[in-house]
Amino acid sequence: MSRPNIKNAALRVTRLVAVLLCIYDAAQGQQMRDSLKEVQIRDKRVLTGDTRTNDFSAGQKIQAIDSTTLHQYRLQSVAALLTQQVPVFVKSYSFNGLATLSFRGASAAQSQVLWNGIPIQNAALGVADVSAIPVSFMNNINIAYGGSGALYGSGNVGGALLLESDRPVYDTDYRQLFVSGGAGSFGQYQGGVKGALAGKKWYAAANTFLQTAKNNYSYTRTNGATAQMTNGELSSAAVMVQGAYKFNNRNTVELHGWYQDYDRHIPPALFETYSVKRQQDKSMRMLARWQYTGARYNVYARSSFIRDEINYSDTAVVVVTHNAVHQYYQEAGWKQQTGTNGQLLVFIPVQLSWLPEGNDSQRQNRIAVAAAYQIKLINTRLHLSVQARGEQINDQRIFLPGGGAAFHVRDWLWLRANVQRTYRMPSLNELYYFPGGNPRLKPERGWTQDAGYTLKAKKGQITLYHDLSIFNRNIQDWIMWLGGAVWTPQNIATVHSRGTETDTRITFGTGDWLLHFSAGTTYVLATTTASNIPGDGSTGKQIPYTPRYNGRVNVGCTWKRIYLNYNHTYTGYRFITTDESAWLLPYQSGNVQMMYSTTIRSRRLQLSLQYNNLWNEQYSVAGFRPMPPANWLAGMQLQLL
Amino acid sequence: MGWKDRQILILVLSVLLWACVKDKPAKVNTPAGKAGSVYIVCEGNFGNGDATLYSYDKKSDSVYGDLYKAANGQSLGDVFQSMRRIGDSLYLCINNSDKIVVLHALTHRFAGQINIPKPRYIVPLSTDKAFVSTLYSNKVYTINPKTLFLTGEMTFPHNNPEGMCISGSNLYVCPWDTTCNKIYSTDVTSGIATQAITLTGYAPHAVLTDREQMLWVLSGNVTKGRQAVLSRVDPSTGSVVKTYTFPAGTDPIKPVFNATRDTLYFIQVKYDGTNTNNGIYRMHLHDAALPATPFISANTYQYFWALGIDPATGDIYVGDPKGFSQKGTVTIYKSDGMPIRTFTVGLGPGQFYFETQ
Repeated sequence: MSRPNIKNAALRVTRLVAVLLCIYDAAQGQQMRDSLKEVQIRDKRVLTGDTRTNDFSAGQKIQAIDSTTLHQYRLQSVAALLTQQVPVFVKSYSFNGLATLSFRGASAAQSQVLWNGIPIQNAALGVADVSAIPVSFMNNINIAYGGSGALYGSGNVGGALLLESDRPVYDTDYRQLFVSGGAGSFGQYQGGVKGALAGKKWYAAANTFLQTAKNNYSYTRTNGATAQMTNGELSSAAVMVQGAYKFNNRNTVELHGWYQDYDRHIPPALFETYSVKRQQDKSMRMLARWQYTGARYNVYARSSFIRDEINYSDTAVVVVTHNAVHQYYQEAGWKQQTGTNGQLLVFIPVQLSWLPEGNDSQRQNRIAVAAAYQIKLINTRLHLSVQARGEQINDQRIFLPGGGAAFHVRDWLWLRANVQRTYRMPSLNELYYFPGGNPRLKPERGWTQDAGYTLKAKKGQITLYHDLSIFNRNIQDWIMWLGGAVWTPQNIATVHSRGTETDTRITFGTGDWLLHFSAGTTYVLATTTASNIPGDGSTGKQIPYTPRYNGRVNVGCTWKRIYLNYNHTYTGYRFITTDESAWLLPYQSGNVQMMYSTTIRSRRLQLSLQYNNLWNEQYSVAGFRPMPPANWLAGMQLQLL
Repeated sequence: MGWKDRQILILVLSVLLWACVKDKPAKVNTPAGKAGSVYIVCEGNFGNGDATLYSYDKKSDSVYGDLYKAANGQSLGDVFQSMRRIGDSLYLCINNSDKIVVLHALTHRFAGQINIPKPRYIVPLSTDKAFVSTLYSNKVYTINPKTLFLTGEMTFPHNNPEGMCISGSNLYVCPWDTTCNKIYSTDVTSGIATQAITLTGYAPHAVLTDREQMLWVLSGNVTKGRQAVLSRVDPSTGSVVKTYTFPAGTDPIKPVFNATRDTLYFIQVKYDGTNTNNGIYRMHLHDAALPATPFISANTYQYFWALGIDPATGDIYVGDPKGFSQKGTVTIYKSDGMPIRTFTVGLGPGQFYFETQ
């Protein structure tokens, strides 16, 4: 393709995409100068510190959150960031409650969360609360769409959230110290200190984050009266420490520790006259990594221990519960270069999880042997990967094959496809919770397929990025909790999920100005196709809390050191019953983000302002839990070193 | 861009024209409220605020859904436990919304509200006095159904006063507490405690009278390790005349008598997806032992949650909550167990109330 043709193509594509976007009523996206960061580079894409993601997942869609967006949401939780910027549904139980992920119609337990390559879902609940993960603790946030059970194991059905804290730097001149603070509506106050020191062979870093909020916002009751939210107080403290040592150019070892304590009062739902509910979530995560880098091979090992503790009380109904769960994860792997364009990875993950206050039988032991091979063919235009995992879980065995391909068709066009077998083991609560746990549960299992293309073009100061994915997934033995006085999980249904995602971004730069526009859409059909319940009304119906449509738009500009963005999100109907007989109305949210960076006496100062729910929409993500009205959050970060 | 590039571009972008499903759900047609001959109390799913009141008109064979919302434009609340008619009004105990909602019986329009923590059941003494049991406290409240005022309260040695009935001049109360093996009686007029009857089983939760004026008390809390026991009690002497002990692990609930009060029906519920000890059971009041097999069996992945006997026809009404994850169904059986009609109701059908007026 000649250069004039590329220009013409870019212009035409811009027009065509703009027209097509008008057809859609909702959109999503990214922005800013580095917004094309996640476009697959032809020879190699380095997205994360995890070789599984970087080198052995050809054909899988991986999205990186750009650094500008991470800065925008530095004072907020990962839940807030994903809600506004990523095509994943975040089920949020009010301003102050649990927030869980749903990728492509998967349940929260089928949506994996990894930190530095280790799974951090609560092993008892099977889910991760992304409202309790501070963005400021993460250096990289990536999203892997679609299942990849062979690489990531149980729970990687709909997708995975890949979190990474700072990577070590070995530099005798490396010194960093940041202080940050923020204040906002409803009594929000936050503060943090982040620092790092390094030598030629060592690295040490610490990051702390403190937060308090009253969350006493006004809302409208079901009878139309206005009331002020009560029992919404939040206080939290989190600290992360890291250390690393480089023995030589080939051997490095890292230690990571992350502790946090969230004390949250749970406000009343609209049907409750008051609430005295309170929940304290404590998590301790410790990780050690070792890596040996050879000329043509790498060897690594990582070992982690996680303790999650939830203390819940509701004195109105005389309920006080204390639940703790431990999980130990260890993985050792060997990556070998084969020929000039091939790589082989063999790794052995071991995961043990148990309830320290339960009996010896209430534990889950998993050991697997997994392998992946990726090769680049046709002058590195075609990337092929195959993966396989054999896993033993207590007395059950499962084999998970998978494969994918990415093809660089033209300079401006990538095609990709991915097929994986996937599964999710029941969580410890699903198996052993008393009353109601069901030790006879089988794993959820099935196949997932997706395909798509990425298109990118540049003409002068205009850049265009466009990505489309189509996915299809069939899961058998889908687990649902059925209950009355006692709730019990059962393997009830077969669920078929399919849909599309689009992501389109355009930037235009002139002089000191950089204008950006992005839009994204998600369309998900996730319907029950078979059920064990007699006379089940759910067959053919959308599964609960899976919006068929959602999307987001970002539009804004950067002028010199000032950044301005308007974000608009749309979330469609969410059914709250399996037979579509009850639902929650769609909602839209407009949000404004501003940032200003400057230097004072050679110290960098960054100011930020967020105005959320600009149009004061009254809405609930989950039923009868009103979300906050218009609110602001102002913050600053000063680099002292 | 060459012709080949254009072809590829058109091909890949044409995928955007994917056919989509209409997002807006089909509106469910809800008929206007009407005084039905059978009310169905639909609890809703705990914590979701989706309790509803349905009715079934036997004459026209019609089902009327969400009567409260249709008449008042708002949701009823969270966990609709039970209802009674007193005079010209319906009294609805909305357990997790801490209120009794009062409706005009004919129009179903909101007539008032009585705020009581975790109300469970109402037993009327007259049109100006009724008793309300509550969960998590040790109190039974007295209310004036005409003025909608709380007029008093009675305290008991144990928490969770649950099932109640009036026999003679006494109100009998079951404290559903695993440390309690007694039912208590108080004088309905003075509120003074009159008797504490000791049972074989712990955690009594339902009491009703048979045609011989004997009390039948169902006890037990399987999840908390209290085996279920059915006791027949002579209220005149306070002695237990017959005890039936259920097999360990069985969970009998919601006993009701037929119109002649000589046959007791109850549900045995099983949540584990199996159908052993799961269904509708019945026994004559002089049977020597508990029924070994269900009169109406539940299927696998099914259990029943509501049971009522139509005092006019003897028909048996059974509610299937379908796991509280979707709308439930009600099936009507003839007294010989032959199913004659099934219809869909709200989420979690838990009680039937038969209009006799």
